[in-house]
Amino acid sequence: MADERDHPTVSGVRPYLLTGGRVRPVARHLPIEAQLMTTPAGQSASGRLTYEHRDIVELCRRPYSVAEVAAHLGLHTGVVRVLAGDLIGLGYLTVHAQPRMTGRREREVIIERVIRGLRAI
Amino acid sequence: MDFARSDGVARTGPGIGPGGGRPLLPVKVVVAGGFGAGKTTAVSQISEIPVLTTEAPMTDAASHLDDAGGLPKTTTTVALDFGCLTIDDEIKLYLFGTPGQERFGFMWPDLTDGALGALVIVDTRRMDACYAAIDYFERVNLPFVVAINRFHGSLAHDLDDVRWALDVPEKTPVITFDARDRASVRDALLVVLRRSLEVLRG
Repeated sequence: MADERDHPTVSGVRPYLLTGGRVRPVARHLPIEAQLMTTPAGQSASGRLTYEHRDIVELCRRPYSVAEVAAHLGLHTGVVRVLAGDLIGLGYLTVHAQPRMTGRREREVIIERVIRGLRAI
Repeated sequence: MDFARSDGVARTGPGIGPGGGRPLLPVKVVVAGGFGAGKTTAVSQISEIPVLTTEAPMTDAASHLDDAGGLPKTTTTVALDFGCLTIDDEIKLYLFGTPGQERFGFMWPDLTDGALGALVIVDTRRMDACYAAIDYFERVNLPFVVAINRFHGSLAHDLDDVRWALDVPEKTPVITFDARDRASVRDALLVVLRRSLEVLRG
């Protein structure tokens, strides 16, 4: 596994094999930047999961975005969304993302904070 | 709390990643431009992780297609390369780089959905490489800034010429920057964010 993460390559396995023919995440649409993190239940269940699910649960002991999971595991983002959707449905992963209906004032505050943070680098 | 910012990463303990292992609120900015325009270079200046990609290196066939013009190019990846920066103890900024040509448009809805804004990097030798992305950002009302990458310190075109050639709205900032310079990339992103605020405030 460590080798694969050091040299990420896009999986040659066709997406529908990994996702069992499902094309949409079980739980919801996952933004590409959404942060995935394994729950305690997910950590306990890790040994019983299939290979691809287990990789995600192991990697996401620390929070990673959908895009990072895809890059680290050499999977397409669409595949990660479906697999993560399974895990979210099972209560093995949590998702953190900005709600798309965020109000204007809230967005303003977020942008102002990003401006401040960038200025500091 | 042990707060080390030297590497741009907030830590709360040994072996714990950005945000101390707690998920942060992710926000994103899109960085669009043609091959070799400087997207990956720009993202790598700001990112606290090595730039990642979720797609394979360009195939030979595609590489041939995109080599029109005979411009020098050392590394090229298709699709999505990205980096991130922990902004503070609650927010993490992702920068997603995408080619600006129409055939990569399939990934733009995903990238622009909820994005704060976009930086369109222009190589004045190949301005057509960002037409489609600019059209798309205008269509979905994503605030964007056109940034001309100053290759080797020279500016081949006047800013007004570029504005005219790209036919961008008057309020869209057109700036120059150096994708190899961290402060310059940061300043370009700040222009994007200020433009986003402007649009938000009407």
